[in-house]
Amino acid sequence: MIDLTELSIQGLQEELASDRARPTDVVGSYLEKIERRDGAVKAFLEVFGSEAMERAAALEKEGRRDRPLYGVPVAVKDNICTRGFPTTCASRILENYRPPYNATVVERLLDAGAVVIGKTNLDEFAMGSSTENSAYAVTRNPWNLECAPGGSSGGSAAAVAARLAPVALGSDTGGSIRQPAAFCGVVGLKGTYGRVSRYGLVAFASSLDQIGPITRTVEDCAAVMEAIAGHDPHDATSIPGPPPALARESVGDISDLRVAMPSRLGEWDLESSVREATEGAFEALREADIRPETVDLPDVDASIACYYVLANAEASSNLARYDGVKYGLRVPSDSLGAMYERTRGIGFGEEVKRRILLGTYVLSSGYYEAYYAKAQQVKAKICDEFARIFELHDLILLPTAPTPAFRIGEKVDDPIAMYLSDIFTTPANIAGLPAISIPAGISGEGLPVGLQLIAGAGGEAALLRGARFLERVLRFNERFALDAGPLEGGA
Amino acid sequence: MLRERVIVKLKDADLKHLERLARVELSGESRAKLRRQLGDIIGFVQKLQEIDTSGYSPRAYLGGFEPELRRDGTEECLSRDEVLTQAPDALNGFFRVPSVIGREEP
Repeated sequence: MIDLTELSIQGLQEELASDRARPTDVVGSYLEKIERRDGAVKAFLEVFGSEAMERAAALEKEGRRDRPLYGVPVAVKDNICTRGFPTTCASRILENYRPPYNATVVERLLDAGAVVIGKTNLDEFAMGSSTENSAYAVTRNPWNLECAPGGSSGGSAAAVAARLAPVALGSDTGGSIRQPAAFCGVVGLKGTYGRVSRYGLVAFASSLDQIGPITRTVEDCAAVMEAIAGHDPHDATSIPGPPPALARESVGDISDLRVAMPSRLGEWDLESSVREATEGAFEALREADIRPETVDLPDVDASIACYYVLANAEASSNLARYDGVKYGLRVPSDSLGAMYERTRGIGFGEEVKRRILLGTYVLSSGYYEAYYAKAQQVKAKICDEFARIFELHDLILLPTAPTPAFRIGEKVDDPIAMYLSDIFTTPANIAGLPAISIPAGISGEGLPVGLQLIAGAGGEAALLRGARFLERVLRFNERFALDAGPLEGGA
Repeated sequence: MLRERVIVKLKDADLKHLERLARVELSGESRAKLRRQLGDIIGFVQKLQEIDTSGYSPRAYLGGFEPELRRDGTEECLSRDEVLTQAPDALNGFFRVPSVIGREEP
């Protein structure tokens, strides 16, 4: 029998449709691989072994095989609510939290026939770029166990790269789907702000957060995005109307697409492998007779400063709910005020406290205008500059991150160095634009390099079409395979 | 790219004020490090001050579409009992907390 964990969604569905495999075989194969490999990778915080097998068996009984994700195992980032199952956000403060409801995306996955196989590790409350800020585990990059998988959806990206799940959900506030996807050699998509419901996503920065898929191929990514997207009355910021039929609309040639190249590409401080991969992609476009035109992007330095003010301001407000009263940890004290302060002091990790304090600072009297209001003006300017670019272009091609994966521990004590790994991803969040990272090459050290495409608001179909083209010409999955030996204890 | 770093020094009293506003108690050993790091990050975001934003009003939402308002009526929601299963302490259908009245807040 073929190795089911090497198949795309389409491949799995062909096996299932022709009765060569059943959902229990698929789920069983993945659970077995998790058993063998996750000791080294630590992508999962919780694996729903028996529950996933029961669900797969129930699917077999039900039939209804025409569902788009029938029998497909999905790993879910642990800041997305799963009814009755732990949802910790990798924080001590939610250690025993079991949400009494499912996130809308989880309901939609289940409706589409998917099987949730477990919850993946992240930086606490999705605050970080390496998954090192988890209170529970350090996830390792499957391409090199000494390296970080990126973050904050590092567990999800590592799970897909190590073949522990064909699909994982992540969340992206400043690059937290795309940057780990780039570091782990997989595909990661963040839709237009409002494309996917945030109901049941534990809030970090509500004006920036979006859930999206991490997969091995762009085609799989389109299929999962189509299943989870769409209006949700539970999220007032969700885009009204039906979502685009992405699985169908993302197919086709790209001769009509106008691709833009950032004018300052040459000035950016990029690792050589990242520069080569980016230039190689532009070359491939030229060979296909797509002539990239140079555009001035909004200032990436301004974007990242704007991002850290807005995101942390919102975080300081959103995280006020963890007070030891309603759910999660309580550290008993003899007064209410002391209980709040001790619960939050002990329950939150260092990076979360740093961000809450920074957010509090920029919102406090005397500083509000200079930081928060100013950042909102910068946001308005960035939105405007992107809108003008997308009047004349369909896609912008740029690196996902300035370097491949860095070593575990390398940046933990330098928050600003860590923040700068998001320099190319935050602009799409600030302007609410869809953006995708696809694997494009390998560095001298054998680490994957990702490339990013950004489209105008609502432009997911063009984005995926462009990504499929690059995937086809760059042939990452055919050219490179990770060495699974070290994941299985070298034995 | 933004590599030059502006140094902003936070005083311990500033940090204490933030702790109180944010209701977070910091442990002794992390205070000095956190104070320095917060100063660095505040220096880092000073970049915003150099950007000419004249003509732009602060923008909180993206607002590409009109948000749909829901009918102002009751809808099915989680029951009180379901919600209280997650509370650290609950009694007779209420959250239970340390006494609020009759003691001075710190």
